[in-house]
Amino acid sequence: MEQNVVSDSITGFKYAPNLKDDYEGLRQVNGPMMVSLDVTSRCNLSCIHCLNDSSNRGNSVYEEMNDRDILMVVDQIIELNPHTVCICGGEPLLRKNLFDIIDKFSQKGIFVSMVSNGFLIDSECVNKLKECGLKFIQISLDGVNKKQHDYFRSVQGSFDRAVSAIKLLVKAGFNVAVSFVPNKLNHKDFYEYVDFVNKLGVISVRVMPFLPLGRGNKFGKLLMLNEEEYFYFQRKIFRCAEIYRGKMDVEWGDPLDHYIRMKNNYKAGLKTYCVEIRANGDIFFSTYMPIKIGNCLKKSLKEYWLNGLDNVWGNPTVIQWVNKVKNIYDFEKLDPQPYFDTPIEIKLDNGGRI
Amino acid sequence: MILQKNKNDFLHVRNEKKGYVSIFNHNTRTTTFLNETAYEILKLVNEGKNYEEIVSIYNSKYGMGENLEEEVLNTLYSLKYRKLIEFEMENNNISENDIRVAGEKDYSEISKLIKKNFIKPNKYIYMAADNEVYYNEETIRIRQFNNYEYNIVAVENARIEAVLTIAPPRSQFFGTSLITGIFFSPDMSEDKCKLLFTKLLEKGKEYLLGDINKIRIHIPDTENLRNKKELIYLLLENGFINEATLKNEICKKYDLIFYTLFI
Ligand code: SF4
Repeated sequence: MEQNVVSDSITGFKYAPNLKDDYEGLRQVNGPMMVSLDVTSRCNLSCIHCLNDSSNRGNSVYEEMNDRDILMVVDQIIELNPHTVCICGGEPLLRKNLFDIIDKFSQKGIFVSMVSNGFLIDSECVNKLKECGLKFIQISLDGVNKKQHDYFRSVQGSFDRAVSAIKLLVKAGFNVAVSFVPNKLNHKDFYEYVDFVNKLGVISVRVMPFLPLGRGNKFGKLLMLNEEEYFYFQRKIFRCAEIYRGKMDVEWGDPLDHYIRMKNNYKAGLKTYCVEIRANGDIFFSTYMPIKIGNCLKKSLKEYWLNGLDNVWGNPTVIQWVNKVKNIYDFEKLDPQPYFDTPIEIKLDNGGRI
Repeated sequence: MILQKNKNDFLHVRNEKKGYVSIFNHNTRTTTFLNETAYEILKLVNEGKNYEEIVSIYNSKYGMGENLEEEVLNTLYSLKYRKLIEFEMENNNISENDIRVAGEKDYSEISKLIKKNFIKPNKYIYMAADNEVYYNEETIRIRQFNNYEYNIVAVENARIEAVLTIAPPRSQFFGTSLITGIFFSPDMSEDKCKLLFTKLLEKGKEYLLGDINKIRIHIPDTENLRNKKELIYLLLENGFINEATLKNEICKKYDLIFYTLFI
């Protein structure tokens, strides 16, 4: 699974001043600002770094909901009326009723984004995505070298299919972002890569470090950059961000950022910003934390929200887990491992706040 | 001032507690929160009301408070910054020729203008050094003469009405140019301050060295950021972005917020 598409641009108030109303408003919210929904845990690719162990057979920890159940979950999300919903996976396009799901959200004026590897996107699919009201799509593209991308993604032809998907989507007027995971094979080509995707017409490049999580931990660690390689790579990112400023965003996403931010937000009385729902209906509040707080098929999302999901970052168990991760390498020590192992379930207690 | 709703953007609105609303703009993909009053004003603009009408509605509702007009104006600027409404500032007939870099004859007047602000500060001013001696005629001159800080001035009827001081790039400023002062005549109208700042900044960019692409300003966040909100809007409306916040800087006294303009 890739990084959520719009989460950072809205959570950080990146382009807004630190205005008092924004902070006070975040204390008064009636629901999460964004929800990410895994519509499947199956994937047609089998990437070396996949943090949720997706592949053709799906993820046994998160068995997929049936069509009726997932539509019920969609209704639960709509009840909380978040501003944005990110459709994630696995590969979302493997879900048969995907277009109905997107349609339901967009009918309510909710901004729907999606993360895809692009393999299944042809012109017919693009038309359907347009019709159902999808607003933003992020395609995974790990470089300019076909062989390397295909090796990393474990399926031949995945590079060509991703590039063709981007071209079709841009032509149809979609806002398209690409995600890039730097590794030993591709980091040197970054300038070329940014130039390439800029010419394709994408509006945002999201770069995330290789995480020792899921398959990334078990099989892909040899591909991780070392300290010096990261140092030079980061400089390239910042340089590109300045060169393309105003034309295309080049962002360096820190997977630990929300650990720090949400912990501090809780102390300042701000509510949970983002909620994640896995393919089986399990409810999480962080991609990288193996803690679930319940399941949408047992109780509605709104009940969980009112019973303490809004203040979950103040839960003592959550605080303990947040404190375990101080850098990216700490992820590999987590036991249970997010996505691979059965998660811990915590009892909500409204975070100790009345 | 003609107010217009933002026609192009699709907004998703959710009611929150205590009268707050959160608004997500589908085009800019940003969320913003408005309090009850700001949301009411937004709705009035969307209904086609102009500035005077809004002020009079509030006047009849709450009575003419001392700061009513100012509050409405501030809210409108805040809505404009959030790209929820649009309006243009009236043209104050400042011609390009009136904006220039200061020279030997100007330092005395610059000093006087700045010192007037020590007595009665214009709300858009910014001064990096809160020290009157720093703004004596000779010290201003020495700094410009030695290329340590130069002054861009707005001149009207042979009088200096506004000054922007910029320090050229130095290693201690992380290689960026630094705005060290923004000064206006204490009684200058808000619209005029804003217009002049934009023009001073444009001129300022001409004097920057070719390879420098940033201008930065460091704003100390003393007690309450709202004290600085006019200045911050002024910067944001001119394309500055909030780049970073350093906690407990300057003898652990206050936070330092960096606003940067990439040029
Ligand atoms: S495309 Fe790769 S990383 Fe994304 S879900 Fe599929 S296997 Fe995982």
